[in-house]
Amino acid sequence: MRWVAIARRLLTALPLAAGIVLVTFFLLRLMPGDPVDIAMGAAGNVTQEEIDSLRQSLGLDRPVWDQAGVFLYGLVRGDLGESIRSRTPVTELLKQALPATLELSFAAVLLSVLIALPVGVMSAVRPRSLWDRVVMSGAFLGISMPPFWLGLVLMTIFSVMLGWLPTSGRLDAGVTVPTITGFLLLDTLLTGRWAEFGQAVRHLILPALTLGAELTAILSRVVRSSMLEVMGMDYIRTARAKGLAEWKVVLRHALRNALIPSVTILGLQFGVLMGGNMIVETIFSWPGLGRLVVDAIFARDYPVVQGAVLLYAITFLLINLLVDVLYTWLSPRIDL
Amino acid sequence: MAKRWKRIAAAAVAAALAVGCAGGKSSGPGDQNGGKILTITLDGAQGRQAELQAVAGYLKQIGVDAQVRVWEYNTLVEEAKAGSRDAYATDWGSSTFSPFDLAIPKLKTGDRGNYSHYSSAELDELFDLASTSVDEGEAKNAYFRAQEIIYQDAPWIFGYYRDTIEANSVKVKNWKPAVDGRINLHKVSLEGGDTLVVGLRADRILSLDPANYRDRETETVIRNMFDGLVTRTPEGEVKPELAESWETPDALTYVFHLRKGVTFHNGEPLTADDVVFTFNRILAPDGINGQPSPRQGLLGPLSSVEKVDDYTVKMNLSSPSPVFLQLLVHTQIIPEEYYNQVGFEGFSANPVGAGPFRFAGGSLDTEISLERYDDYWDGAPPLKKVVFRMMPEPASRIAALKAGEVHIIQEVAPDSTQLLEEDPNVQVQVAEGTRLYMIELNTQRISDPRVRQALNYAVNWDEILQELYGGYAHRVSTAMLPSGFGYHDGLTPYPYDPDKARELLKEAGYAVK
Repeated sequence: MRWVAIARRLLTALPLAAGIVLVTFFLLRLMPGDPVDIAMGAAGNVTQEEIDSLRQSLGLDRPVWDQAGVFLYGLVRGDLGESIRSRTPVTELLKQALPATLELSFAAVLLSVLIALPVGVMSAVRPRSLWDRVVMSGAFLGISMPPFWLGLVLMTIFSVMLGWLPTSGRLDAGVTVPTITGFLLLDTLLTGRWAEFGQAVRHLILPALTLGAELTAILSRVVRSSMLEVMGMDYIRTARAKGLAEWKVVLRHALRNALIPSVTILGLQFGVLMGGNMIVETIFSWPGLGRLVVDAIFARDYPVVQGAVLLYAITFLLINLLVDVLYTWLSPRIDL
Repeated sequence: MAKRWKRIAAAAVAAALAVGCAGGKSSGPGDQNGGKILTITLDGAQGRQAELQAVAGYLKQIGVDAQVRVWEYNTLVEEAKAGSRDAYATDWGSSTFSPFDLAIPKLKTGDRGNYSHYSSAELDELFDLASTSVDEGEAKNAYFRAQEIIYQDAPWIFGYYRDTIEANSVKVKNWKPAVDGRINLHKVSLEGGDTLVVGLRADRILSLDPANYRDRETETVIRNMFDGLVTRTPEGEVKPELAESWETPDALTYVFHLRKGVTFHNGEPLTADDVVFTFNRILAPDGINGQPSPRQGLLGPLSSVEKVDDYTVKMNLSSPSPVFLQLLVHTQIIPEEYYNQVGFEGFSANPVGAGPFRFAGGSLDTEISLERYDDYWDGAPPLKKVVFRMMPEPASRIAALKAGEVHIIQEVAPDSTQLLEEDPNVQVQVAEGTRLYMIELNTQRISDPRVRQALNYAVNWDEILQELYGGYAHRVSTAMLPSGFGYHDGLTPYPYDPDKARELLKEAGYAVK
């Protein structure tokens, strides 16, 4: 039954994603600024004829509805067009950038969960203790710290002063790993390159910490408050009365029930995370989707923006679905 | 239709955002000394905001009602071209060290960069003469006269150029920043190592195909893999590269004699066929995968290229061009046979040139690795490996340099130089920039030259530049760069003279303070 529901959700997601991309398509063209002009650069010795001929060969001189038709026809065949600036197929650009962004995002989420869950639970078990106060003020700091600043501070401390971690990129300069999935942690493992795997992990730590800081802070506060709420429930008293060990009460009976709000927050925050990527990717020279799309927006590189938005939309829809599936696992009363 | 759509949308956006931005000559309430108040909105991108605030402050001091509005740059350019704004902070780069690609496109009637909508028949004539004359004296005189006209007519609040500030590890030997911003690593060496890493300021470079890009960072990488017929010294002088010598039998013909014994990275010899093929590919309307090359404009008036013999090439121009050799620096020769074998995509993925380094791997958005080409005609480079890493954030480039991860970094902000200079392992170096920054005035809306002159007199630029850029920005008198051909030394930039500004404004019928 659940599989049917998931399949149905996936099918309805498709037109939604297409709709989002179509809206993007028109919004982009409403934006002032001319991609061809920008591609030719703010410098002399470009003639108007040159610009016109490029515009024509890109089909940008045709009516918007015409262009939309061409775009949709391509989309149906899985063709997202070519970048105006670099004449590279958009799918090619996305294929390179998406794994980098996902790897960073997942690492940030994983790090957040690993830190926030124990921290939140421990705070809830001993509310208003010194630990609780210290950790929750730390969380407050985490929420208020702009990632741009945090990233540079971490870099100054751990790269420049201590020299423990690298400042930029996904691997050391000049090192390459054959691409299989595009996820470096996976690719290095699959090809048995242990040294490069270690490098990839070291390069991942600072950007993931920076990106995940806010989520960690939010999550630990949410875990704490929902744990506090659950710990006051009747069934917890019953569990304790049964003579269960306290850790069993906390982890089995309380935590699982307290996780639902956290999963909701996680799903929602994943969107914020993907958006915040652009800043972290720029600071840590991380070749991801955020940088690609911002660069493309400034250059009015329509096909690249459209392709990236499509990917974002699909990712969000999938994450949402995943969150809903997680709900049903956490609380069987919830149905898809 | 698409165009009209966009105009309507832009108008809607502008209307929605319009808060207190009036036209250049809107009549405000009268002052005690009569006349209306001049109202001006200074538009600019985020990066120029501080500068514009300061300029607005000076304008207010003489009684101009000046506002600042921040824009996304390309949106602003679109508005400026449409003629709907008063004054806008813009910039324009030059790659030929000549007004040919700076003052002319910016100020010739109807030209592509003429955002100030300026028009002067006399200036147009002088530009035409100067840019086609092969008599250097005559060209210079025409440019001098042109600058005098521009100075008087003041279509802009004339601005400044910034120094190119770069930094390197002290272990890097024999390197200095170049006027054109390129980083040429052929003769560079690294103490205690043979792998050098460069932190490029770019987000990504656009291509590894020398005919498929139009930005300097891409050129920096490509130029280390490919050679051109001629190249440039760090000071901007043209010097022979793949062409050993050349002659100009008449103003419309160049004959190049190629160096013998040059080989591409795949071992094939470089001959006249490769040169002809390279240029024809850029000249063709569909040379780059069915589309025109973005580098067409960099060929100037070149109309055709012929092979005379295996090592001689003849180029025909459609009109005389004194900057032709400076333009030629920007075209790099590719191997015809190899290109035809692998095609557009194959070539971009595995480029083969005749430069000092050969492609070794990497991707455009991360880093490009090159390795020494042992058979380079001018001697193998000392460095064994070179990595160009994309590092768009200036603060991160500095951190990486201080941490020893990179050895040369591009674009250091003026306020970071002190921090770097304190580090004994790091050296800051400076070259003259080739990009002009100015505030263009819409000469249709601010049509009285006296008003435009007044705006120039009203601003204390020396103060502003000192405050914002330390000693790293320099004023220009008009629309030309001192490094460019025909710069008029006799013209000094408008002095800061608020009284003169008030006088001119009053003459033009405006209220002053």
